Amino acid sequence: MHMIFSIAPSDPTPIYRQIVDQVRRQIAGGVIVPGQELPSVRAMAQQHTINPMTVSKAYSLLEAEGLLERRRGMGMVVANHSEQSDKVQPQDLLRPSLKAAAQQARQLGLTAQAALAQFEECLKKTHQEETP
Amino acid sequence: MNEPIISAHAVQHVYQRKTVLNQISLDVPEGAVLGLVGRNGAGKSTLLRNLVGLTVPDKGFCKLDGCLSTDLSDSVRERLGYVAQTPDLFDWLTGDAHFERIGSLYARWDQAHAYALAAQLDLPLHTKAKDLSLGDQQKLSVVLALGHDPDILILDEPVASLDPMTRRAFMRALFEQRGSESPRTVIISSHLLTDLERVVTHVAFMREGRIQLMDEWDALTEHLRLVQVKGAETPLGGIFQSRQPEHGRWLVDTRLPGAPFDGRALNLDDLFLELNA
Amino acid sequence: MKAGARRVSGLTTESPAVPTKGRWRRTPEALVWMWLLVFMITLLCAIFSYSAPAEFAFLLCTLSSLAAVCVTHAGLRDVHTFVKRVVPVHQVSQRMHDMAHGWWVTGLLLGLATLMGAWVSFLAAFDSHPSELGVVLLLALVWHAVWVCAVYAWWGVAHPAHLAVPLLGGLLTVFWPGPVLGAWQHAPLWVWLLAAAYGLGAGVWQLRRQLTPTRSALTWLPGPGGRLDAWARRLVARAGFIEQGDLARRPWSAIFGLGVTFALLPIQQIGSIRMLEPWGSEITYYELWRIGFLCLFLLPVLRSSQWHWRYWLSPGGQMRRQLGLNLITSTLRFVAMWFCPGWAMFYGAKQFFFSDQSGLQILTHLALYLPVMAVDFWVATALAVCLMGAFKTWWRLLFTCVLLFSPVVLIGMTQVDNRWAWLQHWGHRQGVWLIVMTLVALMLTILAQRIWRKADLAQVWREYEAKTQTLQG
Repeated sequence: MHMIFSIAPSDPTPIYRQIVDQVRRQIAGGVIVPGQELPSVRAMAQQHTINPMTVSKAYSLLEAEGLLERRRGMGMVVANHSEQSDKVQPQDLLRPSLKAAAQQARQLGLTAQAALAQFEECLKKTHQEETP
Repeated sequence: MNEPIISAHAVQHVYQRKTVLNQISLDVPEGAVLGLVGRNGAGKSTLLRNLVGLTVPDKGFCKLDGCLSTDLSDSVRERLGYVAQTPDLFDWLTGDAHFERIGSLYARWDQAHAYALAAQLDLPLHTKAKDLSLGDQQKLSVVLALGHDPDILILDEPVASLDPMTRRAFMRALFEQRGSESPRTVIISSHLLTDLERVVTHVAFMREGRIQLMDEWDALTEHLRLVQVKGAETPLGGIFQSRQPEHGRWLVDTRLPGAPFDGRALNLDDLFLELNA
Repeated sequence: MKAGARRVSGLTTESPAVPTKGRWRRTPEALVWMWLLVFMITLLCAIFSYSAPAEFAFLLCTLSSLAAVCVTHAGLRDVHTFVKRVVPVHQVSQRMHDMAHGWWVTGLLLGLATLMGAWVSFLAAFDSHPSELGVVLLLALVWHAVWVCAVYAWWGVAHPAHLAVPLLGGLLTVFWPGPVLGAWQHAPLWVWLLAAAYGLGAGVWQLRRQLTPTRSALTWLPGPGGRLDAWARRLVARAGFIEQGDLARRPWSAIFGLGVTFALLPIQQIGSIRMLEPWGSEITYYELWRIGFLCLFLLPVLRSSQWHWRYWLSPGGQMRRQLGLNLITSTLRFVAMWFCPGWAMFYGAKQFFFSDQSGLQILTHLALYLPVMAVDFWVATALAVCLMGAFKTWWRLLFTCVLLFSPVVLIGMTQVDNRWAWLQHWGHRQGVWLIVMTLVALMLTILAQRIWRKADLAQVWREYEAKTQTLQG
């Protein structure tokens, strides 16, 4: 299992939400592929020293969303893309960071245009760095 | 299943003319891991002793699994594990001898499990209890409480003297595979909030003999925000004013109607500081 | 005097107004010495006083100071602190062990001497009967000693105990060759075999102990003897006889308390006042006073076989419902185990050596004391348990004062008005008295149960265990 979860319990985000977000991101990013098995509730709990109920809560949430499915004898498995492609958009995953940036912009007193200009510039720069 | 496993009803306890517990009511559902958090002298140990039955409250009563704490039935005691603040061991006995003596009192005592736990926690079993360090003594009292696979665990600062690795091992041991079907209900009173954050499902904050706040921990992190208001106005949905009124810091429950959405999210440390400022 | 008792019988020894440094510091340890000093002075005065009221007054002071010692000791947080301040423990701990063992062996020897003497006189009186009674008594005594050793795991003492039997025979033969040899000659074969078996077994054990290097004489040896020890110990533990701890978790405290009761022996009879009465004797107005003092002397002896919250919380624990009864029965068991045989031995020895009574007469007298002792101790223990449970030092003090000064009050009442003259003589210690006392004991037991049902066990545990206070309040 080469999926890496990092749990920060001191983070104000609840642990189950951290797991849910990380699984979503990794599925959207293609790090974990459909059919791949996730670590069992117990293994995850023991590894990160957290409450197994938190893990199973996260898994149930993801199952309700359709990202994961339970397979007999194998535990939780990533569901196929076709079932959830229209549910999770990468744009949605970007929203929290953008929200934080928007808050910062407001605190700094920037107008919407100035902030957007900044964002465009950053996007360009990142794009340039990636495609030499 | 609906009745809470551990409950206290309007418990009042006065000690030397000081009200240690002031009309405390607490309900812990089955399977919950409750973190009891408060400053020294808030009355946490007294509350736990009342729950277990070692102390009789002046008013009110406590129940464990439907039994009055002062009159626990044998079946409840069979499934109860308690770790006191002090190890309270038999000085002249070794860890082994403790297992024998205490283990023989419980029907569900699993000697192999106790040995495995002792190994996990790195506890020497052949030294007399009086020769063990305080941390080791605490480990022994923890193993004695866990050895019979209790369904109800009441822990009073169980890991105060343990190093971080042992603390992790202890928390893992709390959630190990169990022989019985019913989930384990745990109350932990501790100052090590970072450890508590990992494992609790519910949190109760105590201050000066009262419970300030008790709720599911996930709900608290999701819905409680620290809001700064100007002046001395009370924001809608504010549930607790932290610090002096002129500072204008309020804890706001965003589930309440009209409550502001922005504000700082808090982890357990921050929440504790705000509630006890 | 009572002021001091008041201050320390409150189970905590924190009293910030009391000077705790310097020569005149009023720490509990210093108080204990003070009481002992007072005791000795007043004892001398009591012995050498001429008028009855003065005698009574001095006796009261004597016994009160003894009682104060007991109460202080019962309230001592940690006797190790007491011992360490007075005695360099690391230098004398081994010697204390030896002294204790010496005491037990001496007591045993004295008892055996009495019984051998009784045996001898049995033979003289019942020529044709084999002295089975003597042998049975002997065996009972040895078994009792072994049981006591098992309880305290003093296996190092068990060996000398077994040796004492043939040793003693030798000693007695030296002093009274005629009767003893005659007794052995007339003894049946199985007594000879038994003696041989004991002697042989004890000799082998002793030899093994000499050959095996041990750190101290108290080490419990592994090996076939050790396995037997372990089995016996497990058996005794399962039978519940091993007391998990007295209220102070210090067996020495209990032995000390009983030692004080032993100290009653020389003052057992001063004038017409006795602490322990035989059956059929007259009940005087000292009755309440007697019970009161017995109760006070039993305070440090109070024990419980389940005095730990781990027992209280385990299934079958004595929590609440039976705790009072448990206290009473454990204490009585302890008293029966240690005090009664010891007292019987010493009384028997005293009578044997210092009076002309034959063995049978001594045993008869002992038997007369027994029922009275049983009921008296039951009442006194139940009373002590109730007093302990009440936890309010003022009430305890008041109550004991009422008991202790009752003779004065009663005498006063009889002097004032002739109608109260019947108070001087309450009858005799016979059937009616037994019934009444049993009823009183039962009532007190029930009361003790009720009191201890409401006790704050965590508080009690903390007080008696002298642990660091929790971070509360």
